[in-house]
Amino acid sequence: MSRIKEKLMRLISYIRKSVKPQSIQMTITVSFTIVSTVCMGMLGVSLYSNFVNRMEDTMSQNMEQLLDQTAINLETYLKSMRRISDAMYYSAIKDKNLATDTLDEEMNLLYEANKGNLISIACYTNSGRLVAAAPVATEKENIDIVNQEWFTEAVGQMENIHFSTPHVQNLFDNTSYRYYWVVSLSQAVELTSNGNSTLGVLLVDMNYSSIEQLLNKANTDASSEYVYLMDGDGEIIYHPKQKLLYTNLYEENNLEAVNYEDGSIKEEFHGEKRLVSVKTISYTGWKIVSVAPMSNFNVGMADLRLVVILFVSLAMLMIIVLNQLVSARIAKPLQKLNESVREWESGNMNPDIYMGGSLEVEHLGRTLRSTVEQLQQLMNDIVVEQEEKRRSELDALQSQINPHFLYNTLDSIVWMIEGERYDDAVFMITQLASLFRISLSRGRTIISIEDEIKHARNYMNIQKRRYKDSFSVEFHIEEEILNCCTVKLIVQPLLENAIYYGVEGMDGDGEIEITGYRRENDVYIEVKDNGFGMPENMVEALLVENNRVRKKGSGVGLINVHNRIRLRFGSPYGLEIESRLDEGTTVRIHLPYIPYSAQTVENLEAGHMEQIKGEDADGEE
Amino acid sequence: MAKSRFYFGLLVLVFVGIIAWTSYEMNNNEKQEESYRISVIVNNSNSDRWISLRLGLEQAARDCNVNINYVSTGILADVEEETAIINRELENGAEGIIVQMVSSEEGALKFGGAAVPALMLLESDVKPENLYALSGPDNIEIGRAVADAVKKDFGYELEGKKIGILTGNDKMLSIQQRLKGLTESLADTQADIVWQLSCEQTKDGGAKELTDQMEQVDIVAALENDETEKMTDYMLNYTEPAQDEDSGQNIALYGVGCSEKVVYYLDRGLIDTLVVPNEFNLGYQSMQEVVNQLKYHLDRANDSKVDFLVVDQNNLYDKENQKVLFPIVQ
Repeated sequence: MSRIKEKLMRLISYIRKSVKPQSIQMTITVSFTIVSTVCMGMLGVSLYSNFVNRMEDTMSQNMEQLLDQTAINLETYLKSMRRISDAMYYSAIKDKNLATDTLDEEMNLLYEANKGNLISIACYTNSGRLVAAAPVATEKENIDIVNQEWFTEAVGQMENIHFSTPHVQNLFDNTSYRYYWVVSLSQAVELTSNGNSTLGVLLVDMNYSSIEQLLNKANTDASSEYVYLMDGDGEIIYHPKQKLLYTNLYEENNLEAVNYEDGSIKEEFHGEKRLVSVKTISYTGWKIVSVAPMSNFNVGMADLRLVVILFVSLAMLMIIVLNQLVSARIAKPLQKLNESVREWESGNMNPDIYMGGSLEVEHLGRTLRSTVEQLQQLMNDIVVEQEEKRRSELDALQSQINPHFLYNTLDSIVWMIEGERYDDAVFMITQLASLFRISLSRGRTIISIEDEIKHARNYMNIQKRRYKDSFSVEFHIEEEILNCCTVKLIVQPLLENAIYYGVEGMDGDGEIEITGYRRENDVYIEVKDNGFGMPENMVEALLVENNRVRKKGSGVGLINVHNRIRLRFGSPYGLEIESRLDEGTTVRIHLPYIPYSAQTVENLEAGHMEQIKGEDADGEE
Repeated sequence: MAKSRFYFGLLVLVFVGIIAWTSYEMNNNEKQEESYRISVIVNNSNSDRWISLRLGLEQAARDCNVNINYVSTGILADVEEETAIINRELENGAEGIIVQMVSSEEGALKFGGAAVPALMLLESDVKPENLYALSGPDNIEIGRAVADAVKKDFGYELEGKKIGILTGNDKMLSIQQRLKGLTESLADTQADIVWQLSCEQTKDGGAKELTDQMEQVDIVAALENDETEKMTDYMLNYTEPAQDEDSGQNIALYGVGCSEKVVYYLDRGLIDTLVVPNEFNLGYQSMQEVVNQLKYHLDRANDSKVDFLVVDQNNLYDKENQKVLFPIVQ
């Protein structure tokens, strides 16, 4: 048992291994075809076997019906023959005194009434002497009546009426050379002569042709089915090929069939399978047999088989074609989609993604198309961003060493030295040195707010000297935010703008206030001036990309600062500007609250803002 | 993809093939079995002696699906007349011919250019022999059987017995063979064959001739059905009843024949022994062979031999004999 199981498992695994993954269409077609083939095959076989059984039943029923009908006809015929014999005996022979009366009149009457079926009626004494006969005929000379079979049978069993097998009548001389085949019906009778009873035999010779005609009716069918008749010992009485049987040109299985019970049975005779039905005729014990060769049945079956094969094949053909169509309909959109993906894979970044087919496939196509588009957009954004970053960095680099500012400052210093204001000159140079140190910051982009503010202070100190304290500067920076990260050089350009556009021409009334504070996780640094302010539309235009105005100053616009903050910390951050005409302008730097450490600086330098946010979240938890 | 397309095409092709095959088979099955037209030509076709033969032919025709044309003929004078009938039958579309030739001596049959698809000779061959298929009894054996019957009844020596022979149509090879069988078998006895008459000599006014000859013989052997009938007619009309032992003329008749008439006279005791060829089988087998030749396109039908019965008054009604002797006629 386990060995069989093992073998089965091995077979299954072998099949699994040998069945390689196929295309969807192939898989659908093959599996549909296999399933439909099996179903159609089973349907065909069951239909066929059903038909075969029914036909076999019908055939044997028909045979038995035919047999019953023939048997009824034959029985009726034989009964009427027996009646003739009985009528002759009971209404004529028994009543007559043969010494005085003759039987001729009654006998002739009976004969004439049944002429069609009879050859002769005759009555013999037990010594074989003819008492009477109809029709009147000359007896043959030297014939041995008492040894003829019908006579011995009648005398042997006196109570019965005996039916012989067909034989040639050998009683009367017929000068027209006619010999008649007859079936003899004989019975022992009591002959009375002057009160003395003697034994006699009454013989009714039935015309064999009548029986033959009766049975021929059952054999008119052109098929090879036939009916034959035999007596209780299996001797043939009637057969459609009787003469062939007599001359040994044909053989019949009668000696075997005589032992069959009534009903249908299958037999094999001379290598031929046949369906045989047997019916026993009452009284005589004769058996009427119907024979149908199975080949006969098979010829009809062959047609049916062909019809079934034709039907199944047509159905299969239709199913295969239909399978192909359906599978193509299902698989084609997927294939097209797959081809689109292949095209994409092969490097075409803007493939024409197929959208069609069934709802699901269409949805897939649509999703894929939008994904591709998004991806494309993202990639374009990345390119733009990178470009922007590069440009911003360059701008920042430029702002590190603004030649104009440097020139002005150095010019101021020269003036101070020439005016022998050496302390001022020293202060200016010290501030300038500090400014450049922070500007460079060893090449880093991220510095602490403390350094940034220091840088701003240096810058303002220098500018204040240059502008001869024509405006005031105030710093209000919360301690808490000093140790936070910021992009470097973002305050200085704002101060520069505040000076150039805000307080430059205000004749000593100018005020610039720098405020730094924290709100939850955000850090704000405001640069507020009380200058001329600007109209609202101008405020809006300040942070728009294409509106770079370089009139004065370092040329590093607000937009540059804004972009740099957003590139580093993300879009929520950057600059906010509030301005009112004649009241002043406030530019607010919005930064995330990120404590300054070597790790965070490194991450921010690498552009991994996400990571820092995650850490923040973890830290808060 | 190309591979799967190939398999798909192959599968479709297979099913189309199956459909074509089944349609073809179904149409073929509907065709009726071929039916053949076969003509049968015998001398004096309405003679009683052909009843059994006709039954045999008709049974075979039923079994083999044959349209049989049993040509109505009178007494045929010669081969020319018979050949004309055969040609007429062929022109009328007969596919096979079964013929009893009235003479074996005029060589091969001459047909007016028409090819005979199948030809079967009945009873007697033509010379040169074995040119056509032949169906018939062993004629030499029939001759011997007649001689044996004579010997059996008269003792094997046959001393002083005078024998007359009615040969019938001695132009036929079959009659010559029967005669040969008879005379050879009688040669080692002391019987004396006094005369030998052919049908030419006994026809029409032949009775007179017979009367002249009859005086001289004790035994007459008739080798043909018609001659046996003729002899019984003669015996009934010109001689005393055979059972009258004392009368001068007491001729024993040994005949060959199969008509009901000769059987009747055998039953009556006029004929001592009758040799009866199985004519039913002759008809049945010859028809079957011709059909086989047509069906299987053979060059020649097969020869077939039929048996014969030797019947006398005692065994006439034997179960087996009556089956062969008496045709079942409705």
